[in-house]
Amino acid sequence: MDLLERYLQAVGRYLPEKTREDVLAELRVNLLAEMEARADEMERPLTESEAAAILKAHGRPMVVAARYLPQHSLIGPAVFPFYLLTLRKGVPLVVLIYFMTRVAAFVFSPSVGAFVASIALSFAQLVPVLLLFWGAVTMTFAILEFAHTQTGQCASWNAWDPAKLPPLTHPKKEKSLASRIADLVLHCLWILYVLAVPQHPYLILGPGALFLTKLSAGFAPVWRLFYVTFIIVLLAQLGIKLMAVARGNHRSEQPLELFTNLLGLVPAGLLAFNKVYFVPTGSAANLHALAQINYWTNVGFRIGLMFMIVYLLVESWQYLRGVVPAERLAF
Amino acid sequence: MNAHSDNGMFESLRLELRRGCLIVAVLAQLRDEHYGYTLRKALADEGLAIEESTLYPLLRRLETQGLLKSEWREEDKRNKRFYRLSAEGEAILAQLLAEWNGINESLHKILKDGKKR
Repeated sequence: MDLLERYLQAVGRYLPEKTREDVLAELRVNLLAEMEARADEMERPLTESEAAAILKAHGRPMVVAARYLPQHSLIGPAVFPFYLLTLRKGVPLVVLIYFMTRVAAFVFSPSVGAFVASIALSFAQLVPVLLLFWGAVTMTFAILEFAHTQTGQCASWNAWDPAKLPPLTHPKKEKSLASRIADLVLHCLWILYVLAVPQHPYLILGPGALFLTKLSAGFAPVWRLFYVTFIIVLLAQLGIKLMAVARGNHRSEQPLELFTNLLGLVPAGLLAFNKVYFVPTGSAANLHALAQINYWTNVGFRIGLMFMIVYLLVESWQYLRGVVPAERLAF
Repeated sequence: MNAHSDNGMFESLRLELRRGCLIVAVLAQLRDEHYGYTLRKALADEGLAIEESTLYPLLRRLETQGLLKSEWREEDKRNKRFYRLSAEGEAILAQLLAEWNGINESLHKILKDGKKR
């Protein structure tokens, strides 16, 4: 019976001191009775391996002991749906806020190299941020669960009013042909307008064009590069709008629009990471004023780039929520 | 769905179905006094085998809830813990049996109606 005592000792290790002796005494009697009954059936004493088989069937010591302990759960079934809902709603919000702050840091980083390095670093640092959020939410709900089990009240968790249910939502209507044609025409007009800008700078600068002349300043070379990339993006968008008119469905339109919005980051990035937009064209130029104009223009473009990136992140998330089944997204 | 997952699902549903019934069976059997091993044997003889690692902790839990009372007593030169239904346990058992009979009747009716169709 050395094996039985060793088994009981192993079970006892996982039991609280207060009940250990009592539980083990009861377990001993029951297991002994079982072994004796088996021996009676076989009409001989049990071998060591037969006794071991009975103990093995009874269960692993740690598991057996756990069944004698009070049943606890960190977050019970009454609170769990609220916990899951908080995580599902909270994670996208945390990701958005995180990226907004990171994007602000990227946009005001000194160089393109630092910008790319910050993007890589941001993705790596998102993991601990999410873990921290998960830990904080779990801890909060564990405390609520504790309070809930202590007071035994769950009325506030189940209190809801059917009258406060949100109104029925109707599926998004597809754009009509007329609306798609109007969209195409407006886009063509916009391209023509942009094409006319090099000959007529006042179209985009307004009275600012006169101000530049007064300052003896002109456009820096970066505008040419910006202009070419901007036209490419506009032409890509034109292609999508033509497709929308010809094919009549816009199922593939949304990812293509997202792609062109992503392309739009290239010209915006070109401007945001360039610090010289206006250069002197004559000796009478006010260099101090030009430097100020260049500085504030740069700040404006960087803020604009930040909003573009955040907008793109939100759009991408909304698109993914629509096409990827919820269970394949994290939340 | 393959046979393996079918078996897994059946096993999980079977366990869920048995869980509540086992408590009723244990309470009913403890209208007569038993200690752990003889209770398990009595239930098994009636066709309701329960693993000892499930039954013994369950007895303690039911006692903590006030549905059973127990006492250590010597029998066959060995100290054993005998369990018996408490007064509160008897009242609860009566309610559970009424509930059980209600479910049973409804289920029979549903199955009977299903056969007619």
